[in-house]
Amino acid sequence: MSEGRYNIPKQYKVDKGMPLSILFQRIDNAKCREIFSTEVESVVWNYQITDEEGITDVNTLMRQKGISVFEVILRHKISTELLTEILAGLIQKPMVLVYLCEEELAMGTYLPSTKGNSGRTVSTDFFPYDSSRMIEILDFEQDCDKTAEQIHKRIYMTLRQQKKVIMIEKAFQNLKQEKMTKVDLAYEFSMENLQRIREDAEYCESHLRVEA
Amino acid sequence: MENGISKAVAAAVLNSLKGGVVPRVGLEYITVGRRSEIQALLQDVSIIENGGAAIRFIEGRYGSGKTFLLHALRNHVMEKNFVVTDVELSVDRRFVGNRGQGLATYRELIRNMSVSARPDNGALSLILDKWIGNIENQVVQSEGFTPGQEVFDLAVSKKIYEITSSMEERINGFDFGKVLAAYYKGHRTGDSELQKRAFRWLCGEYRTKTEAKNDLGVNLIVTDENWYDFMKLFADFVVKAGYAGLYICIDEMATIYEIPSKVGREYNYSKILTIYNDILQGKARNMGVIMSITKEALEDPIRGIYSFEPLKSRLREDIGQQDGVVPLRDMAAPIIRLTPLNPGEMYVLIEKLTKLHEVVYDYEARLEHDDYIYFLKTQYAKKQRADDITAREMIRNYITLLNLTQQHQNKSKEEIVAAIS
Repeated sequence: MSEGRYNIPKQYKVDKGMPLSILFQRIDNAKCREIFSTEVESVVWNYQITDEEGITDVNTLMRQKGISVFEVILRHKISTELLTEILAGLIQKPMVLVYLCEEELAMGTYLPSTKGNSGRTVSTDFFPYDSSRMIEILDFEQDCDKTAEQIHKRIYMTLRQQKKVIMIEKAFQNLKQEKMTKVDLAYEFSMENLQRIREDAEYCESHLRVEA
Repeated sequence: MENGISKAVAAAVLNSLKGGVVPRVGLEYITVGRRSEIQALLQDVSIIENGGAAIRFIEGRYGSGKTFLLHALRNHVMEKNFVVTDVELSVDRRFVGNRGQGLATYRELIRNMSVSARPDNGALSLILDKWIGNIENQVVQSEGFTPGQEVFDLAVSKKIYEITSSMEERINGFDFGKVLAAYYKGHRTGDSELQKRAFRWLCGEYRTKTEAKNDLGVNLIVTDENWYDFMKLFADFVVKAGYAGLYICIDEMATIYEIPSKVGREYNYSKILTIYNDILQGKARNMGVIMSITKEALEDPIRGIYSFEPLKSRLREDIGQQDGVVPLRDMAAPIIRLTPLNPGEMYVLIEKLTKLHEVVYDYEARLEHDDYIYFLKTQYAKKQRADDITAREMIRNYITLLNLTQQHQNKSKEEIVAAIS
C-alpha cells in the first residue's frame, strides 16, 4: 500500500474519509461545533508517514507512530489557526493539515507535547495554489532518509516560514490595491480605450471567420 | 456583429456560456482581447498549410479562456480545409500510461477527427472515402477512363499504391500504407469486411499483432508507445487526401501534473518532449499541436512540466519582469500566456453579449454604457483583485442579468442590477 506522492516506502496512501458528525460531536465549545459543521465540507485522511516499511493494511498502519496528513475541504475561508487548534485537540496526534477552499490552499501542523515541551501548532493563511507558494508534504531529496519525526519538524519549520512570507505578500497587495484600482478603471472605461479594444475584437472576428 | 449572426448560432453561444461551457460555434463573435494570440496562432496555421508544423502551449488559469481559444482555432482551421481533432486528457487518457492511457488518447483523437463537412467528430471514414473519390476523379479527368471499365480500376489502384508506397519511408509507414491499401481493396471489391478491419486497425482497435497479421497481413498495431508516429502519418495522409493538414488540440494538460507518481509524470513529459522536438526539428509535416495548460501544471518545479529539465530548458523564457511594468511578450515563443481580460475588455465582451441577446430574443436591451460599468464595478468589488474574477464567472453573471432584465420588464433595470450584484 505504499503509493505516496514520491514513492517513499514510509509514506502510505490512505484516502479515508472521516465521519464528520462523530468528529464534531467531540468539540466541547458549542460555537466551534456550529462553525465546524457549517464550514467544513470533508476531512480526508490522505497519507500516513511512519518509519516502518512494508505495511500492508490500514489497521497496522493506525497503530504505528507517525504523521497523519489530512485534507480538509472548506465551504468558506475561516481562520486556519482556529481550525488547526480544534483539529489538534480532537485528533491529538502528530498531523499535517491541508486546507482547500475556493482554489486556494492553506496548511497547518500540530506537534504534540513532548517531555518539557507543550504541544505546538502553526498554520498559514490561504494563498492561490501556484508554484511559488505550493508546499509539498514531502520533499524527496530532503526526506528520503529522514525519520518521521525529523520530517515533521522540517514541515513545521517550512510552514512557519511560509506563514510569514504569505502575511507579507498579502499586506503588500492590500497596500497597492486600492490606488491601482482607481487609476485603472478610469482609463479602462475611457472611450478611447474601449474603441481600441473594439477594433481588436473586430480584427479577431474578421480573421477567424472563413468565407465559404 | 453587424455581419449577421443567425439567431440559432447566437442562441447556441449564449446557452453554452450560461452553462459555463465553451460554445462550439460562433466564437469569433465574442473573441475579445486576444488579438496578438490570434495573430500568432494564425501565423502557425499558415506555416502548417505550407508543409510545416507548429506546437503551442496555451497557459492560463481555470476560466481564463484556454478552451475558448482552442475551440476558436479549431473552428477556424476546420473551415480552412484542415482535419482537426481534439482530446481532453483525464485519468484514463494521457500521453502514456501503464493501463493503455496513451492508446486511449489515440483512439479518442481518431474518434474526434472532424472536417468542415462533418464538424462534430467521426470524420475518418469520410476522409478515407474522399481520398478514394479524389483519386477516382483525377483518373477520370486526366486519363479519360470512366468508372466500370477494367482499365479505370487499374489506373486508380496504381495511383492508390503510389500514394501508400510513398508513405513507406516514414516510421511505421509501411504497415500504415498497407492498411490504407487494404481499405481501398475492400472498397473496390465490395468487401465491406476487409474495409471494416482496415478501419478498426486505423482506429487502434486491434489488441494483438497476431490478430492484425491474420486479418490484414501487417505485423504492427497501434500501441501506447507508437501512437504518436501514427498521428504524424495521418498528418501526411490527410494532405494526400486533399486536406490542408492535421490540427490536434489537447485540453486539460493539468491532468499530467496531477499524476501522483514522479515516474508516471516523467514518462508523459518525455512523450511531450518527443512531440516538441519532432515538430521543431521538421520531422513532422502539415501538423499543428496546441495544448492548454495551467500555470501550476507548467511551472511547478516539483511536479509541473518545468520539473522535467529537458522541457524546462526548451520552454522557459528568461525575459525579466519589473514590478509595475507590463512585461514584454514574445508571441513567437511556444508558450502563449493568457492574461486575464482587463476591465475594458470585459466591457466590450458584455457589450457583445448584449447584442447576441438582442438577436436571440428579438428586442432592444435596456442595458447601456452606465449599466455595463456599474455591473462590472460591482463584480470587481466582490473580489480582492481584478484578476480574481474569470471571464467565465463574469459572463455567466452577466447573462443572468440580461435574462432578468428581459423577463422582468416591469422592474427597473437599476433594481435588477442591484439585485444581481
